[in-house]
Amino acid sequence: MLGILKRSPLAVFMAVLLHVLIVFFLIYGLEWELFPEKAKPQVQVVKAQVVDADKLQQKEAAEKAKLKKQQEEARKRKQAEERKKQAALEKKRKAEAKRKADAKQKAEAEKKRKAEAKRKAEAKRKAEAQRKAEAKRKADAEAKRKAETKRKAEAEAKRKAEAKRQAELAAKREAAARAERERALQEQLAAEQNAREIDRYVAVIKQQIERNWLRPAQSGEQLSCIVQVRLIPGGDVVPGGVSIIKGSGNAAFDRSVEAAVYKAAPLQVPSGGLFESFRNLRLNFKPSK
Amino acid sequence: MSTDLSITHLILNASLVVQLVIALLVFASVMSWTMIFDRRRVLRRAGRAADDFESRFWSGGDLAELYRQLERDGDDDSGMAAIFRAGFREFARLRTKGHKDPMAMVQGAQRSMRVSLNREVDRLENHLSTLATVGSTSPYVGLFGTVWGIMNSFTSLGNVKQATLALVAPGIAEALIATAIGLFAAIPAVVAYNRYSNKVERLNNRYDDFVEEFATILQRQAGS
Repeated sequence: MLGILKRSPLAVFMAVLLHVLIVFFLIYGLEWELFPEKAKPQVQVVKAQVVDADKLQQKEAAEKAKLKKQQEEARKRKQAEERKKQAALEKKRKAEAKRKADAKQKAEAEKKRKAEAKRKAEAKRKAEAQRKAEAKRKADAEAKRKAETKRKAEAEAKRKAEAKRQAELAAKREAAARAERERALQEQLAAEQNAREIDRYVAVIKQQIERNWLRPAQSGEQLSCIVQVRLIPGGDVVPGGVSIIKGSGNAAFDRSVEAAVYKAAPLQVPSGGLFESFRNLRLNFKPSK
Repeated sequence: MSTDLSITHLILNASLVVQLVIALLVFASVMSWTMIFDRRRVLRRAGRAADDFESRFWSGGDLAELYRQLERDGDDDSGMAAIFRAGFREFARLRTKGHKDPMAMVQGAQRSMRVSLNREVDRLENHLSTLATVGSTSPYVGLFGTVWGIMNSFTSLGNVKQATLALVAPGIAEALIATAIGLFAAIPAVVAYNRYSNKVERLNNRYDDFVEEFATILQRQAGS
């Protein structure tokens, strides 16, 4: 346990976490299901008391008299206050009216002055705008003329550039096509040479295998089978790497070919890039004699 | 009389022996799950390493080159790579010492590969026995806790005149929790043990095959 804790603390952590989770769900999950909350009814309790009636009446009468007196006093105080307030209000109202009339007169005069000024400004602005519009119209016409000439020049230049580009493109395409043809030719040559080389090696390998081949006694002339052989560089056969792709129908014949391949190993294979074609080699066997 | 039958309440009210049994079982469960996670990681890594190495080995490069690469990669190699290294090292040593008999050379290499293979399989099997132990014993331990708890609750039953179900039920319930926890610990441990021992067995077979194949190749090289 301690060794594991040192080697992989993650495993210990995950195990502990798993258990903590399970315990948590057990405790809370089960309690929710088994014990739904029971609501307790809430009762309001009324308390009863014994009261003496006579005493209560006396007390009440005294309290009433006191209350009446207080009310009377309050009423008088309130009336005096009311009167005072009204006088002050009247005074204030008069002053306000006077101030308002003054302000109105002043505002009237100001308004008149402003209207005059505005009228003058308007006239001036109109004249200015007319002058500006005229100038702009002239400038526009000039600009248009210039733009026209420029556009014509540009179109001309573009046409020339296009023609040049086309010519270049054609030349390039021509060159590319020539290179392609040459390359294809070369490739074909190389492939042919490779194929010849491979054929040569295949023939050698076949001979090598046939030398080790013990044909079953009564195999006919028309039997043939195709085997696939997995090789590693150096010509060793991968164990279990010999398989019959298409059998001859004669099991003894097939087995003899397989045995011959194992016996002939290591096979003579080329080294280097050519070997890649021999990694999975297919060979066709038929009794030559 | 309390009617609270929640699990926490039951466990807290259980007798000391039952509580000890439960604590032991929880510890065993944590331990077995730790092993499960640990083995899972180790075995998965070993399988992947074997795949990698096999594809490298059969890709057809020079074996000496492969050996040098593995030596350079350093000490973290295990499984097939370790077996290959052991075999190739022995073979090269015998060859440089000038042994003439190819059979003896191959046998030496094969012997050192066997040793390495045993070490690798032992490393994979490490701790699997703990899982087996937890899986087979924890139900019994849980059963022991249950029996003890029920005994207690019957003893207390003997002291009263009128026996009611309400008197024995809590005791039996608390005793049964021990069995439940025992099973809870045992089931994953048994499943994991079977699964992982099967995996180790398969890896062992792969290593074995590899040793044979590699010996064949060495024999051919020794002969030539």
